Amino acid sequence: VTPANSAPTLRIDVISEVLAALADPTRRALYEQLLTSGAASATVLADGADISRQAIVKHLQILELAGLASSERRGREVVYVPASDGIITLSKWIDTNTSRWQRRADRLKKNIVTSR
Amino acid sequence: MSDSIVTEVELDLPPNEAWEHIVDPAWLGDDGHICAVPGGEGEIVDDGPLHVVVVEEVERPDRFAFRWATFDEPPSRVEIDIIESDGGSRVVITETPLMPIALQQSSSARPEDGGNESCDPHHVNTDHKESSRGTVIDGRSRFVAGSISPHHDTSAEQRVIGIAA
Repeated sequence: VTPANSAPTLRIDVISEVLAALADPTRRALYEQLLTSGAASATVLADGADISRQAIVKHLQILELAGLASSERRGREVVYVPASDGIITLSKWIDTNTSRWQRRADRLKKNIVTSR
Repeated sequence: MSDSIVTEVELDLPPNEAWEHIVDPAWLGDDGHICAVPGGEGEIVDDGPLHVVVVEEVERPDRFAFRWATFDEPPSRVEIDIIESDGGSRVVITETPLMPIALQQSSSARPEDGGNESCDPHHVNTDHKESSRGTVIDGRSRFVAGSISPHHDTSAEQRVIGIAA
């Protein structure tokens, strides 16, 4: 048994929300746009997009609920900025499971050696 | 959903001989059992949480796939492909989290009572659309993101893309 019990406890609903938010290609693209632009309003994001501003607002709200974006009021418009909470949650989940699979792979090799 | 953790391991046994070790759950956890037939159930304790397992595909000696879930993390599908390579085997393990909606669509695949030694196979719906992308680095695990491109300078983003240990 390896002393890996210090693995962070991850809430299923939170991780699922982040994964579900990023599972949609449109939301991924919006999230990427937020990362590259730093901040953008729904109107700006809708410009040149093939979906309505209203649809974009809905996607942005899902990103916001997942901790991948946050909204702030600037003057007369609402601007969305990328948030790190969602990505931190996701990367914790990835780190935990990556190290688990490393350990399992090592164990598989070891079991084969000892079975000889 | 196509975000997967891909792990690759090289074994010096040909697939036919490696197979017995791969379907033996001794490597998957600290303790547990799996009934390695389609629809077979199992339980594995690894790194703390109890994983409840439902076996989906058993294609000796090429492929072994199952779903598993703990009570506090998203359920996922694990696909293990065994590829002959230079007299040994290359084992590619792909773990893909399942979305809650995917669970609802295939509730028939959920274990009813947590699995036991009775090892009673039943039919499992394996109609999934998940796929893995990208290549793997020998002996390493890495996260394969669907379509997030690794071109941003945001450090949080880089943490996800550059996850290969």
